[in-house]
Amino acid sequence: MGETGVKMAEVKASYCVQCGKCSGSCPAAKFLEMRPRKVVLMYHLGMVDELIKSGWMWMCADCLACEERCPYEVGPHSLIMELRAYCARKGLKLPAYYRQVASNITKTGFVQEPVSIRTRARRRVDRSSLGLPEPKGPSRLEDFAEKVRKLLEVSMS
Amino acid sequence: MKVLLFLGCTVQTEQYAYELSVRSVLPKLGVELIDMPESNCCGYPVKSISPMAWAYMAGRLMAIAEREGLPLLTLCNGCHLSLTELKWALTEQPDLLDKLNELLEPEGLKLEGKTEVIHVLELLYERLGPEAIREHLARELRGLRLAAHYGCHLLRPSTLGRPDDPENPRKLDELIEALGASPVDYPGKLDCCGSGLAPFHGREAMKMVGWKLLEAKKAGVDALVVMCPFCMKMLDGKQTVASRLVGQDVGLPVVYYTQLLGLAMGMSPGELGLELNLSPVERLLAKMGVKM
Ligand code: SF4
Ligand code: SF4
Repeated sequence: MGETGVKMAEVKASYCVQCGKCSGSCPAAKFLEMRPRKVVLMYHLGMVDELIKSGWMWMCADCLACEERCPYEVGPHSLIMELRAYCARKGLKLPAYYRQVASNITKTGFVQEPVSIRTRARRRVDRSSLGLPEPKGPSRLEDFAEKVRKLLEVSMS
Repeated sequence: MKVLLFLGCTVQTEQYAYELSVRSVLPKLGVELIDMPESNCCGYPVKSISPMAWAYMAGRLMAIAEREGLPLLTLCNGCHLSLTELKWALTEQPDLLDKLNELLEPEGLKLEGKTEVIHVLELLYERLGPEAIREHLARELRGLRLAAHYGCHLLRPSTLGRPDDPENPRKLDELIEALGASPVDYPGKLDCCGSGLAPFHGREAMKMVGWKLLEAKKAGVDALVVMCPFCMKMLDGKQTVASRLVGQDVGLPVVYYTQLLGLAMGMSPGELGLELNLSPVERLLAKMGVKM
């Protein structure tokens, strides 16, 4: 975590033999510019700024196929996640998704509040009409929210 | 057996069919479900941008389970991976436990990191087992060809210990077979549902849904069977937009395994939340001779 994460990622990137098994396994590569093999290479060459500009860390579907299949345990996925953490630590602009998730978690304890949905017959239902019990969030929500807010603070500036 | 039911954000706030079918089916198989006295997000959604916020949230859930003295049952692949990874992180980083306990202590919680974390697949396959499940069936689902979709986070990364083999998973297939149906292999079996990409590149994520469903359709299956609310949200819920984006009709019934099991146990579609599935499940029900 933190700086240790960076060092670990550097060491692991140096094991890469550019075999391309990761890119070949990557579902995002079918539809986007995403190439985990290139991410590892650029990281190894110290091209972090270029990587951040490419936006590749947000093109990952988090499927872990590259992590699983890399024959040299480089772990392209961990490296990509480390790039996300790096953006957060440096206060770079994060996708709007994170702001929304962080705000909901600190408000309710969860990423969203229960919504009403439609059945196949287009009838509106919700937890109570389906007979499901009220979900219980953190007992002392304020304490919980305060801690999460502080821990996220660095990343959400 | 008694377990602490952790719903997780997605099940609790929108994937009600999973919860309904779990609450209908598991008690009939002798599993006592205890609702969590309180809970929170498992932390996975913010893990990449704030590892400590993730660790606190996942650790808090485990500490609650430790206080209750029960194994934690997760329905979601993401929650299961999140909690499993925290247990692993606690053994890798000796100072993490103390850091988390510093945060948890003022809330009257204490973490040891020993809680058992069980996914529904493990509960059904390891704890109960296909044989025991067969004893509860009211009917056999003979003639149905079904495609298992495990979901990425249930299988990978295997270094953390996942419930089934990362390249050749069989447990869900065997559970399908236990109901008398035929599990069918298909080329896209290990492919991702796209949900991790959806917040950042929605269109491409929907295309992933489309291609995955087309692979299953090409194998001539009657339905796709899933075990994760995120996979369901994508593969069941996004078929209309996926069809438009890939320029072909990708429509295929998608059901939770717990819904399928409930039907085989003789429960009604209503009890199992089948009217909440957005994919054309009536096609599957018609094949089984069941009315919605
Ligand atoms: S699979 Fe591993 S060794 Fe091969 S290119 Fe990708 S990161 Fe490098
Ligand atoms: S984890 Fe990300 S980069 Fe790796 S194969 Fe999956 S989508 Fe591609």
